[in-house]
Amino acid sequence: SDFEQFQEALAELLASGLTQSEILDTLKTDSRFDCYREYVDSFEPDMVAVACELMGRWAKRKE
Amino acid sequence: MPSEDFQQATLELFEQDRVGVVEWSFDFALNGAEIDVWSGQILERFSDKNALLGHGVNLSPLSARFSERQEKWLAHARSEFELRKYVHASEHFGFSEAGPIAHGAPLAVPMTPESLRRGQEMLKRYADAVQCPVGLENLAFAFCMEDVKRQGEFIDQLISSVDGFLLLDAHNIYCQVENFGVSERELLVSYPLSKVREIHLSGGSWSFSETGARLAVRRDTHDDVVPQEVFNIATLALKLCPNIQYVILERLAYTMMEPEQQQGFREDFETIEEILELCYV
Repeated sequence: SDFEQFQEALAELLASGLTQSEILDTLKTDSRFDCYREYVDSFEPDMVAVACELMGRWAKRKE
Repeated sequence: MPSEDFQQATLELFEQDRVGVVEWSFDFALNGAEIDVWSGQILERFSDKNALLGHGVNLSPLSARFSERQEKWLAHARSEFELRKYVHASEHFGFSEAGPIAHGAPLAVPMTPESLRRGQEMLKRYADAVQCPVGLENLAFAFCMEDVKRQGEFIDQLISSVDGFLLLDAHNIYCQVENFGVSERELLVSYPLSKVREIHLSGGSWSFSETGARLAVRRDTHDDVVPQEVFNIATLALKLCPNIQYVILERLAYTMMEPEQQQGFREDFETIEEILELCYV
């Protein structure tokens, strides 16, 4: 359930349209990412920005 | 394919019988898109001579949940592989469906026993649907250095569950070399090179670095000619991988609208021919 919760929360956040700094802050503070805290804390901000673009601009949302 | 610019760029290559194998993103038709007559004839021709490779784009093998959309995708794959004869089927490492997203570009996952189990289950479903060897393509995207360093070993564990193969994408390796400052050889040898049956070459683009931590971010956009660095990586891979059978040049549709771009694609094809001659003749 950690894996499911983590992936759902990550996709939701990346597709949220929040600013880059808000997304980075959320990754640091949201308890839904605590199950993989060490992994998430190593995310590179440049790559998070790319992921936001991929999930936010190019992905197809569920209807 | 199928697109008008792709046809214009490749027609003479097909007519001169220089194309030995074709790879088809078979889930293209899943969204109701029509396959044009020319592309359909090529698919039949290469299927008939056992030279058609299947490449899935939207399965999302490392999604945490098995969705209804994935179930439909697998049913489509099953009927497609019953309709046409394919040599093998591949997909991309990573997840592209989760939360509010139905499908997008694949992203990395935490590499744990649980994500491994989910991925292995999905690959078994894929293999059951297509009834031929299945494999995974290495991912260009990485959130962090851990994603870069561990992907090869993790893919090996995933494909071992189905006696599968690795599709080694040279441009995806190049993206990680540029974005994370690792050496191409060090990265290549972290993959199960004896399991590579196919390699991809393509071009890409650069995007702005939000943080200034690097000059720019290399992206796997398939919209430009193949850089020399990717030819170098592919040449090294051909030397290190003893079981490569197929080499595919990728290009996104509608990115070769100018004759010069179509000529650039053919020149890339010619360079690959020269590399293969150098490595194997």
